[in-house]
Amino acid sequence: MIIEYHRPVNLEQAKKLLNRETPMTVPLGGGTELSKYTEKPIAVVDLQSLGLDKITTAKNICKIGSMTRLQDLVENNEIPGGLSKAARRETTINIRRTATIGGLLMKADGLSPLLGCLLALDVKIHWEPGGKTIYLGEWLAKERKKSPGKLITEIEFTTPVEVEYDDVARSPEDRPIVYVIAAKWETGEIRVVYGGCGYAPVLGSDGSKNMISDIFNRYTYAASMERAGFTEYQQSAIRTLIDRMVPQKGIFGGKGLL
Amino acid sequence: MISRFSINGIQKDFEYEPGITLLQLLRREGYFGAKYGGCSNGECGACAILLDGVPVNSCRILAAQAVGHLIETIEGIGKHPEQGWKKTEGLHPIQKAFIETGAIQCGYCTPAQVLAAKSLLERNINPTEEEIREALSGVLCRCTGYLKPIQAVMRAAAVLRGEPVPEIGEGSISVDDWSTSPKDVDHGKSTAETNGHAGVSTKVSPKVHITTKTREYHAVGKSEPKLDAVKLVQGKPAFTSDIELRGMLVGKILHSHVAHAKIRKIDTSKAKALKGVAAVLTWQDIPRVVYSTAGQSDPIPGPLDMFSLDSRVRFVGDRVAFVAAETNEIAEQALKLIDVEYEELPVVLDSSESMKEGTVRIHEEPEYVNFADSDPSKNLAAKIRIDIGDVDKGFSEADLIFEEDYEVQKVQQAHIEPHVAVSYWDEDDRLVIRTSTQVPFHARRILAPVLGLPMKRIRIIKPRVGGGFGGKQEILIEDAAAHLTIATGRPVLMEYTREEEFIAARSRHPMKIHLKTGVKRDGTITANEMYALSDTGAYGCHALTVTGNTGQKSMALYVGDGIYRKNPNIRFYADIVYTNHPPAGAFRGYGVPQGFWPVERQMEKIARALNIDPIEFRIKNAVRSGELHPFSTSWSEGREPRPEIIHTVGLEECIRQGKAVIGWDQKFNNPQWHTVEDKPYLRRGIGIATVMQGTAIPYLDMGGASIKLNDDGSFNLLVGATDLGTGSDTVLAQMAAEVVGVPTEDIICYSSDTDMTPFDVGAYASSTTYISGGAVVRAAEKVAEKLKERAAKMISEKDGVPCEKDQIKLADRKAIAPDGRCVSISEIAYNSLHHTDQEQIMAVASYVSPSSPPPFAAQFAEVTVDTQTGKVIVDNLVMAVDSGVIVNPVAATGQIEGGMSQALGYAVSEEMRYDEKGRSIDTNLIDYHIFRSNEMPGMEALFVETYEPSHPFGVKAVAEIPLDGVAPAVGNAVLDACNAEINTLPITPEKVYSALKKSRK
Repeated sequence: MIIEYHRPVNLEQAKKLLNRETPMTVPLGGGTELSKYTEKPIAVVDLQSLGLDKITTAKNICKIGSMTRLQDLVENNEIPGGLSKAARRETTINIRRTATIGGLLMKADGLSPLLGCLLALDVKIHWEPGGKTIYLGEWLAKERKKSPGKLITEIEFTTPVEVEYDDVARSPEDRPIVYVIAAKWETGEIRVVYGGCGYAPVLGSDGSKNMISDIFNRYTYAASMERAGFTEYQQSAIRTLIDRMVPQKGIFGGKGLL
Repeated sequence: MISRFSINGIQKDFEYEPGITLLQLLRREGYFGAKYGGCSNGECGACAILLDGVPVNSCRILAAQAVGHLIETIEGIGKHPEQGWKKTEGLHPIQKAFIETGAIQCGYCTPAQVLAAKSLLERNINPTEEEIREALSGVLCRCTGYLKPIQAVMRAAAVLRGEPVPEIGEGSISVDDWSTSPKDVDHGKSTAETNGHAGVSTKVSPKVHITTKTREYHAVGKSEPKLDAVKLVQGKPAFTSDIELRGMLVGKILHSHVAHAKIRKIDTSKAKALKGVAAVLTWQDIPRVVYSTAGQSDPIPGPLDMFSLDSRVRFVGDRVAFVAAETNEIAEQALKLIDVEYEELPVVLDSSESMKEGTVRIHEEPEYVNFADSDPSKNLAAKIRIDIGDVDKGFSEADLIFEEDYEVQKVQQAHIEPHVAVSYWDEDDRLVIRTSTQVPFHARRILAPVLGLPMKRIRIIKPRVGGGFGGKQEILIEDAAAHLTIATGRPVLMEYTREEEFIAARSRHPMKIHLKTGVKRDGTITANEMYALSDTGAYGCHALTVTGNTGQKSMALYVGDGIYRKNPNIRFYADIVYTNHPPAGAFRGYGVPQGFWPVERQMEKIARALNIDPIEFRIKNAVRSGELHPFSTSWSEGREPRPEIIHTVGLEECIRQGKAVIGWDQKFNNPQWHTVEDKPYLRRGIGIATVMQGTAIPYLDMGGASIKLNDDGSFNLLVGATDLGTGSDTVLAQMAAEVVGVPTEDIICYSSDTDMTPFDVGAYASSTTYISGGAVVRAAEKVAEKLKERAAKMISEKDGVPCEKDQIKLADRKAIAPDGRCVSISEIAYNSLHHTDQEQIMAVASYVSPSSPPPFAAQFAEVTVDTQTGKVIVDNLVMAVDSGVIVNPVAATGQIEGGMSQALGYAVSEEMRYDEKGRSIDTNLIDYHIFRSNEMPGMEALFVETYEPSHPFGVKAVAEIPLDGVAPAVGNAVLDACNAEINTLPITPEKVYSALKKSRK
């Protein structure tokens, strides 16, 4: 049960509130989860006045504030199109207008196209207090248990990067049964992520064009997908979607994934 | 906390708890336009308001988060233009457009849709259709299929741009034969490339192939705006929970978390001790009265197997205890404090196992009351054995026998307004139950013994209903609210959450069906046999009648040809078994969609196997006008059957017109059309299903109506019929207006209240326009007689020249003699109420039909299949319907479009799934996916009118038939696209992928 509501106007105030031991004090992003009735008495810190909702791209780094709404990602023309598409496929437009990227990082699972996309982009998460950072992949690998702070302030990833997204669902706006996201940097680095089940999306490949030839090693893939809990059908659909990205004209500068 | 909120441009200070959501605050303060859809995850969007000009779901944010922002609710958008001496600016152009285009059905999601549209048009006055679809996609609508709301936004945008817009309501687009119109052939652009999004043409008025027997009416046949649209578009407090009663408690139900158990011990002491708890009831506290929750006429055609509370639970979600508390939070907390000790019993979830010897018995209670062949010792809720003709002889005469197994899934009605009831004692110690129900009169009758009250001490009030689709043909929570009011003496609000809708409401019956068909090589069907194993879940509500319809409607369509046409050979056997799933019940279509899935899939396969055109094959074997309904001599929903001739069958014309609109001849058997350029893995397909339904239950369904003349020449029309968003109040008013010669706006319709309105069975079986309409016409004719009688006297006395009442015509608010002399209806009213031989001109009438004339339809689907992943995109749906004379074309089209969108979910995405312990996997409207506005295929509805002679205006039913043919048409289109044989619904990518893999082997 929410017994206190705070809306700090600067980060220092927020950090001070979040450092309190009692009552248990937690950050409030879009509001989604905490608006539910909970057993324990908690205080919430609304981050809407901290200016954490900016998207900036400079010096080959794109930074997205943790309070950025998912709909802002959909409408932004500066970020990779695949990221916008993944944000759009995450949930409905009304929910996208309140849900934040910080909130998504805290709760999204393997079914989340946007979390998959952030993993493909190899985003780095900034935390306060302490100004520490952690890569999303590393944090997910630790099952989000060892967070380096109490508050996510922003995420960042390296640009320029192109992102492609594809999925299979029962209907065009249904949650994907499987999705595949590929990110390709000018340096030649490629990361392929897929999802559709479990706690988190799966990083299928990470490396240069030559290093990721194992994408096509069906045995390797089958083993990793099975471990992650994908059904036989999902595995097949994922392979199909990846196969299509490889030669597909019109993506990655007309060259396809590789 | 106290904060200042800016709502609709006014600053207001409110004191509130920090944990309260914006939705809770708004509704507490009287902004009832923000609706509660049972969720707190924003799945449905009915609670949407504008925050700084953009729609957000108010259930998803804390009230405190909205402080400092501009809040707009529907109450601030527009008002009725005339409020006595006070004039307002009137309704907003968006609100007007929603009314004019028929975009409002139940109206529960309308305020949210209007706000979303406003937000869009303020940023973009010239949006594309795709932008409109996207803008509305945050708000789920289960009624409309979204076409009309989109048309409304387009129209409003044109008005706001200062452009002229065409009049609506002057009737439909009457085209004798539009089949040659080239623009109709390629009416949709929605394809795999656009992922099914947008691109459809949006026409407000439907095409109607008008029957030659229709005479010119002034009200019937016109697209009159819905009578309740003005209040609904303003978000007025018209729904059950939109009231605040002094001292009202919140009622909650403790649901079982195990699928089958005896309750060994139940300790409520901690819950009762919690501050703010007013009552906790268990099976030990209330009388043990056996009943059925099915809202049907007496005697209930099914077993009595339910108690308000029992010492045994039979599914995950079954009732364990009721709690009433001062707040929702306290009630929730109290539920957690109830200690229940279960003695778990074996669980049966597979209907095929249910009747086997040694399977655990679900109903052992001595109070169980059988109906017909129900047998609880075998877990058998109902049994059907129907033999028409000589089926075995028919099979022996066949050249080929086709046999297949099919399966249809359990799906949810998913009305956006959850089940909700408010109960209270009135000043006369009568129990009033305000409830969102389709069956107020059945509710009163069924509840009386359960509550230990004489029927006369119960009053049921049905306000506006936020969608029902059969789910509210159930006495589901009214008893729980009432028990708590009896226990506490205080008003109680009982409202389901979305999760409760999934675990503890009703659903469509899932079935396993075996179909065997005998045919001659020339395509003549010689015999047809269906066996259905139907899973009624833990209780047998609607078990017999739903499954009876499965065979009675779908197996009646194809009687065979030649000698078989006169003497068809049809067998329909069914066992309806208990399992530990949540109970099934009534759902729009009422068993018929389950039947047409196998029948229409099988017809397609047979035609293809015989190398006969699938449409010609259907027409050859389908029932024709003047023929006996084959089931009418053997089945009538558990009652005595009586032979019934089908007088009107517009099926062939439906096929002809539907083919033209979808462009069948250009696509079917055209290899080029089946491919997609540059995407060799995509294949297009086109499919058809022909279907029939019924119109009410003959000799049983009864409607009543009373009409009363007012001083000003207006009329009060009181009907027991239950408008649950379909527009039936409007259609009934149109019929009354037609007879008494006034515009529809002069009819003030009220429905329904067991104290005020005549009896009516309620809204089900597609009966209202036909049955209740019959009652309205009869009552109106009696009133018309009295009007004419008095008018003749008045006219004669005016100038001494006699005038015969039989020569009087009622039109244009006047009674007119053949020579042109006339008096107004208002003058007649004043004369009768104030001046001469005073009397109240009024009449009451009722109607029971001796027949159930079937509507017919041809449903078409176009799909694109990804042959590598199995993904299916439904690109277009077309439905041509023979529903007799169409009373209100725009409203009727809304029924078709909305029905098709529900049926589309049945076809490809909707399924209630359970784990091995009987626990529901899908408990929200995200996992359980119903279609949104931005993913709908192209849709077009058209009407082929026939004139049904058994009704004064020639009408037949329209509401349920759209549910019947979409799934098989999609299944047939998938077969046409890629030869994937899918026999089990829904048609998921995985099933298509597996079928393709199998066909390649």
